[in-house]
Order: sequence, then C-alpha cells, then structure tokens
Amino acid sequence: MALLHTLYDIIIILIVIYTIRHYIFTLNRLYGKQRHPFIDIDTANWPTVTVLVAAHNEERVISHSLDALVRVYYPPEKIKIIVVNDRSKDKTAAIIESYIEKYPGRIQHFHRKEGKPGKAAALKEASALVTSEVIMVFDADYIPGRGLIKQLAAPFFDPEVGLVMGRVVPLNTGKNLLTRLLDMERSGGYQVDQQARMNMGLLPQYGGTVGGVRVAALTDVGGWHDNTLAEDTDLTYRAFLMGWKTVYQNRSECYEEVPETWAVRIRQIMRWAKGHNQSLRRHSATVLVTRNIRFVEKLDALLLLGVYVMAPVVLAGWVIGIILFYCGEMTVFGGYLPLLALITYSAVGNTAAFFEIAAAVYLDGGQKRLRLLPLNFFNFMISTLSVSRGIITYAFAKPEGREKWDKTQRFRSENTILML
Amino acid sequence: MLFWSVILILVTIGLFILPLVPAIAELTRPTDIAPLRVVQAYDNNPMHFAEGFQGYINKHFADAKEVDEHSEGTLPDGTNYHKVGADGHLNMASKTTDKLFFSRYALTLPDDRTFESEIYSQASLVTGIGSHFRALFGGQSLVIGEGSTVWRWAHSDGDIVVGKNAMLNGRVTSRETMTLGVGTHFERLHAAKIMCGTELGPVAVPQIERIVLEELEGVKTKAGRRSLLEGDLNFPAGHSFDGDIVAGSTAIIGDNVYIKGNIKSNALNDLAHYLHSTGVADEHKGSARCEIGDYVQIDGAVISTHDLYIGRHCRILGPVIAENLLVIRSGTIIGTAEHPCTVTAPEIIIESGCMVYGSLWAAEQGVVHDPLTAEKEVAA
Repeated sequence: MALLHTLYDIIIILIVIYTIRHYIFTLNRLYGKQRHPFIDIDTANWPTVTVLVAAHNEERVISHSLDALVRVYYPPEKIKIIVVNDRSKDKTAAIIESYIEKYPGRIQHFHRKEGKPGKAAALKEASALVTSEVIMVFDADYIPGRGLIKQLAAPFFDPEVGLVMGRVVPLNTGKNLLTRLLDMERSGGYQVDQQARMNMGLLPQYGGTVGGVRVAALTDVGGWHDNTLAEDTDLTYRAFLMGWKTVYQNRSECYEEVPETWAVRIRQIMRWAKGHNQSLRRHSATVLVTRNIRFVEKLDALLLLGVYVMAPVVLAGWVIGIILFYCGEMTVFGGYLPLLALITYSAVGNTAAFFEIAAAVYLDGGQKRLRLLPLNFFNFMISTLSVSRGIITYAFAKPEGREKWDKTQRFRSENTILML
Repeated sequence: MLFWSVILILVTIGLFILPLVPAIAELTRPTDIAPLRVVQAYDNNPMHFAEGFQGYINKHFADAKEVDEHSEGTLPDGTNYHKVGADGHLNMASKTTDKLFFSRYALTLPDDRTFESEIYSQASLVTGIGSHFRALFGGQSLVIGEGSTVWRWAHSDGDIVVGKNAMLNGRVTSRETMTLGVGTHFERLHAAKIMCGTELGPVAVPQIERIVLEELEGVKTKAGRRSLLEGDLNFPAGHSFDGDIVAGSTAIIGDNVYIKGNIKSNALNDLAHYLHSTGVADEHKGSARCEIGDYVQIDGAVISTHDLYIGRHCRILGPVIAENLLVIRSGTIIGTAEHPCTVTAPEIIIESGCMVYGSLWAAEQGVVHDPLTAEKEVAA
C-alpha cells in the first residue's frame, strides 16, 4: 500500500508539472513577446535546397503536392525536387513520371523498390543523392504555398540553426467531427505549444514534414536513423544534443490532410506514441547528463520526451486512486482523490490543455469553431486510450515487429479540385 | 423520494449537457468549417501590393491611352477617380481629397495636402512637402516631399527620393535606387540600392596586415565550418578568421576584422536595453549584446538575439538580423548589387552615409539619423 501511495504521489506531481507547462505556454502566447526573427527575410543569396517528397502509395494526393512545388517562388537554379517513391504499388510512379515529362529538369524520381520499409529508411537512402546545403521534407499530402520554401530556408542563415519547422494546417477540416477536432488540436500544438517554445528559447520540435534540415547538421549528428518510427523526434534530439537549434516558423503554413476516420486516427497516434517513446528511451538519459544546456531547455526537452507517457500515467492515476479509495486509504475530502480529480481535470479537462487549444483557436480567429471545444474531451479520451495501447503493444512486441511502419491512409481523390 | 431522485438525475444530466449544447449546435449546423486561411499565392515578394495595384490600374484604365484633359468619374467598385491631364498639375481647392488620381504623364502634387486614395503616375511623380498619402505609384520615378507621410505603401519602377523627416509607413519599394533623407522614419523598404542620407566620398580605409586566427578561444564544439563557443566571443582587432562563429553569449568584434563566415550572438534579454535613450550615440555601443567595430568585413550573415551595433565603414554580405535594436553607423554597406540581402530588426537606427542592397525591414520603426561628428561624440 505504501508503494501505491508513493506511485500516486509521483503521478500527481507529474500531472501538476504538465499542467503548469500548459499554462506557461498559453500565457506566453497570449501575453509574451513573440519571436519571428527570420520571417521578414525576403531578399538574400538563398541556399541551395533539395525538396524530398516522401511517397508511399500516394496516387490520391501526390499530384496536388507536385503542382504546388513546381510553382514555388525560389531561384530555379537553387532548388531540386526529388520524389522519394518508396515501394509504391499503385499509380504513384506513373504520376511522378508524367510530372517529370511535363517539367523537364525540375523533378527527379527516386524509385525505391526494395529495402527496409518506412519513411526514415527512404529518407536515408535518398539523402545520398543530395548535394545541396539544405534538405526540405514534405509528406505527399502536403500543399506548400508559393513563398513557403523561402520562409523555411531563411532561418538557415543563422549558423546555429540545424532544423526548421513550419506550421501544419489541416485542409479537410469540414469533413466530420473528427477532422474538426483535429483541426483545433493542431492549432493548440502549433499556434501555442511550438510558438511558445520558440518565444522562450526552448526546444521546438522538428515534425518531419514542412520543415528543413541543414545537411551539415545532419552529417554532424550521424544522418537519418532508420531504426525508429519517429525519425523527426529522433533527429530533433540528436541535433539538440550536438548544439544545433530548431527554429519554428509559425507563419510558414502548409496544408495537410488529417485522418477522416477514427480507425485511421487511432493507428496514427499509436505510431506516434511508439516512435516518440523510442526517442524517450534513447535520449532522456543523455539529455539529463549533457552539460552546457540551460536548465530550462533541459527541462523542456525532458517534458517533451515524456508527453506520450502521460496518457498511461493518467490512467494509472485513476486506477490507483480508486484502489486507494476502496481500501479505505483516503477519504473523498481528506485524501488525494479530489486533488487528483481536480488536477487531472485541469491537465486534460478544460482549463489547461483545453485552455491551450482555446487560446490557439482564438489567436487563429476561429471564434465559432471554439464552440466544439467540450467535444474535444472525447477525442482526448480516445487518444489517451490509444496512446496507452500503443505503448503497451510496443513494450510487448517482438523486437523485429517494433519498427513496423503503419502508413496513414489518404482520403482525398486525385481528381479533387482544391479550392485554395 | 423517487421524485427527488429523478430531479437529481435530471439536474445532473442537464449540468453535464449544458456546455455541450453550443457544441452540438455547431456540430449539427456547422457555421465555421473552412480551413484556416493560408494564402497560397503569397510569394514573399516585397512589391506584392504595388504589383497588385498595377494590375488594378491596368484593369480599370486600360482604355485611357490618351488623356489630354482632366476628367473625373467613378469606377465599378465605387472608387471616385480623377484622370490628370497632360499639364500634370492639380489645382485642389480643398486640403483633403478621397479621389484616386491617375496620370499617364509626369505629375506634380501641391504642398500640404491629404490624399486618402492612391495616386498613380505612369511617368514621374513628385509630391509636395508636408502632405499625407495613402499610397503612391510613380512609374518612372518618385519624389516624396520633405515632412510627408505615406500611410500604406509607395512604389516606383525607377528611383525614389525621400525628403527629410518623411514618415514612411508600410512598404516603400523601388526597382532602382532609393535615397532617404535624414530624419526619415520607415518600416519596410526594398530597392536595388537603398542610400541613407548622403553618400560618403572615398574613405581612407586603414591598410593593415591582418593576423589570421586559426582557432578561437572557448570553443565548445566544432562541426564543419561552425565553431560553437561556450561563452562570450571577444574577437581581437586586426585579425581574420575563416568559419562560422556562434557565441554562447555576447559577441564583441574589434576594429579592422575580416571574418569569412557567419556570426551569431546568443545574448539573453535583460532589462537594460529597455532603458536606452531614443537617440543614436556611442552609448549603444557599450550596451549592445553584439558589437561590431569599425572597418569590419564579414562575408556572411550577422545575427543577434538581442541588440546589434555595427560600427563605421563596415562591409557585410548579409543578411543582418537583430531581435531588438539594430544600430548601423555611417559608411557601412550591407549586401552587394549582385547579392542583395535583408536587414531586419524591430527597431533600426541607421546613420546617413550607409547603404543597403535589398531590404531594410524595421518591424516596429526605423529612422535615418544624422551621423555624429567627432566633436559631437566627445560632447556625448
């Protein structure tokens, strides 16, 4: 019983820490000084850029992405587009070839027919073809605007910057309740969470798409690791530990497609949880012991690594609380149970994480969609259970099955006319 | 008892459902489902507004090939306009007008007037002094009178000359040379060449043999060309270095230094910079977290997370970025005609005699300042 009490105490402390973290980020976004130091760079001797478009069975969306990329406003002699076609079995290859024919010399087709599956492995092989100073990575469902490449390239004039991350904006928001909830969740994650980290000089996360990597930094940290499900988080931390900064550009926005069914959403978040926790296992100790990192940066880095662990921690807290209560270890008014209920509600209910989402939607100007906020509680519950399930299945999976890449299903049609 | 139990259950359900009512209403009758607007066509082009306005003019005045006489009318969008005749002069009875002015000829505007709509001249445009303008477009050249204010934007495909003490809000862009009078306040400027105040004559650059620095002190890690320093950078005068330098804190570069690479200073914010006076002087040199001496050449970018002070007669390839105050002393040249770049900071004080090739972006406010003479500095 003493062990349960100790566990319970630790869980409460963790939840309180994350609650405070949510509040600090949100208040910083609402009232703090905002940092966008590179967004005004419009004229420069731009670095050479290779855009890698990761594609695996993307016949539904790849043409939209390529249409957008050939229109970007960047010196043509300094940009190369390589479509990394990773073992596609559908019409992806034929579509890419049609674009190569239509835009000679501008697009290269890297057709990977065998090898280790997964985005990280594909990027690792494709990077061998890169001769530019910067690599930019886009998933095949992303639709960059004309100025986006310049905006993402600008921070690389700073010699300390190794990674740059732009903002992801869902395009298919109006499909159903799930897409609308994910739209608000994305707002919270980028508009508040990432930008607050940027403001406070902490560790914005490179998200693996709508972002750039300095080739010198990539080489310095040992290149892409293909033994991870979250090559983005893994790279963020390896770069961080080697003294390379990640810059978040909140105004460098790019449309993406979010899952339209709960089944796809659950698979996606389970993969994220597994990948993120691989990084937690690999990097947390190193973050802890590495010297010459400011305390606040170190704390933020550790808390960021732990975000996906908090789902099972919250669940465990509920279970332990109930056990302690029924064992007569605490009363409703005297024990930790009401405190846990309060704090948990604050952390995951509508005054911390939800406060963050509400502030983000407010900053985005989406006044009426804010009415859906209470329904995000259901999304939160499903995410908590899915993340916990992902972590448990990962823990009990055989080593060879742990890195199985679960591709996110696309919903757009090749013939969809995008009203952008 | 049953009655009260039912009431309790109903009240509980009601309290649970109440916050969900607006949500369910929005779900069943959506009113806000459009994706967040991302302007796909925006291309970071500083002449975006001017080119948009040129398109507007081409659309509405395409038939105005020959206009010899003054005429007035209303465009389909409700805008009142005045087509200027070949004499190129306006006789305005009132001090203020809300008409859009269109001219195919050189146009000269009277002093001390307020123009609430755009003014377009396909040829040269010369404004009066002490006037206020919403937007100005001078096809071949543009002269903005002393003490005048531009609210939104101004553009010329040719040269722009701005008189003393003008207030340039928004964007002012030129495809050729822009010359700014002393005392001009600005926000966003872009031109092939921006000349602040008067161009300085030939400057006697000290001819010294620079000592090559192979290694820097206090290097934490080195990767490729980049040296990451543990703490401050104190780069000695009269030395040179080949590589990128990231200072953990402040960066002080001595006079007559040559750095073939980029410089970054990571000084943290403190309260001191909020206390600085509004005038330019050497006081900024002492308080800046990143300070570059006189006659320094940097073949790369200079970035400061705090204030940045750039001394006299420096040459910097750029870009130059400061997250607080940026002071640029006279004679400094940033960018080149072949490689224009961006200079950006929330607040910029740039002295007469400086030149920037490309963009000069002050997110809050910039000012062209008279250079301090040696006598004034002593007095300060």
